[in-house]
Amino acid sequence: MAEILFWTAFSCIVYVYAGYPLLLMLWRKLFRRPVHKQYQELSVSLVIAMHNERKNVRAKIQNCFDLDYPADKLHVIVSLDAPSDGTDALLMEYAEQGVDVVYCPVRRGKAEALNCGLAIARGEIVMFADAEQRLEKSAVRELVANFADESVGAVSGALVLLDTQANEASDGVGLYWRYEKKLRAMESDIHSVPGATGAIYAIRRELFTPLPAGTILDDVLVPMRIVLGGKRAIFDPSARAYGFVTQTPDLEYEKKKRTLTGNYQLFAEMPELLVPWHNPIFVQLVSHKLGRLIVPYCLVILFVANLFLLNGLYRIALVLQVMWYLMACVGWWVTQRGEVSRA
Amino acid sequence: MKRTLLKVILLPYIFVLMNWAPVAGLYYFARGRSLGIWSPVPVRHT
Repeated sequence: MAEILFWTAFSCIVYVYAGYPLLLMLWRKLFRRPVHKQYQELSVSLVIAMHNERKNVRAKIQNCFDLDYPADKLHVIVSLDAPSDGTDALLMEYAEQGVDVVYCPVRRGKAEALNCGLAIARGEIVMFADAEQRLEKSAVRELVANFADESVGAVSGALVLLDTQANEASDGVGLYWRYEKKLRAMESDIHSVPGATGAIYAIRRELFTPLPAGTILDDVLVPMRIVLGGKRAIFDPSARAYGFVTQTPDLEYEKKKRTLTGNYQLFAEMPELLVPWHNPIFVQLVSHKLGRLIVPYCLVILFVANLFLLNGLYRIALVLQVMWYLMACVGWWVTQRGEVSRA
Repeated sequence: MKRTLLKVILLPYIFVLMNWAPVAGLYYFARGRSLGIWSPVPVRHT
């Protein structure tokens, strides 16, 4: 029994992190579906939801003005969700420069703020962005070009995480994010990605339906609705936004916790995602999103099962596991001493 | 050198922490606690 549990848990972990990417590589080789990208200038409503963004608002609006896209085709909408730090006062300076501001005096959360912004959007394409990250000049043009392909309903851009020297981050979270983008690129080539990047994505406006209040992952819910509706949600790495990598593992943990809680919420509110004949990217969603939720329990099973298997190869496996978790304890101790932020 | 050593030491910790996140996420979800980027103000019934 312990042996069966050990190998089942081990197989699950290996599949999620290595088997699934290999499957995607093979799948992409056999059934690649290229997107017919063509540069065009459709009207775009760029919706940014903000709460307290005093430190980012000016740079963000300037960033929108600097985008390489005709001003008469780009409509910037900022949906303010009851800011209390003066974001609204700073934003009013831009009201005469074509920025539409939707103001909600009662805090209702990001999903409601996006709904309010979308209510006044008139562009054929709606683009979503966050206040914190900067869009590359060509970002809108690159995203919009993908909508020349009628099968495309949503396009996600790529978030490039920079380190303190403004180079693309290559360790820890940065490395993980690169791996994530490779997965998304392969999923996109086959059919669709099971989720966009909140900092930069766009959809056809007619495909938007209001988000339920309290939605945590609008950037997963919106594209998944579009995929269930029969269109593709693709990933285009040439449309880029830039942000800074989190400085400590604990901060990244908080972000991860929020994202994964959002995944539980998504599965609870859209159970049809877990029905293979309703969801055209069932395998991708289960392997990418559900798999990540299951791995921690597999790790526990792997360790506990290993305690009952102490001969030969299993003994080595147990030693390795114990060493790994002891090193994790050392890592925790190091972060508590503040060595990470000093290095 | 110190940075490289730190990266190696931190790898198992980051792995464990990132795998603890789904467990904590399930707890928060089951308790109905909101974890939105910014959350709505809780409504008080008086």
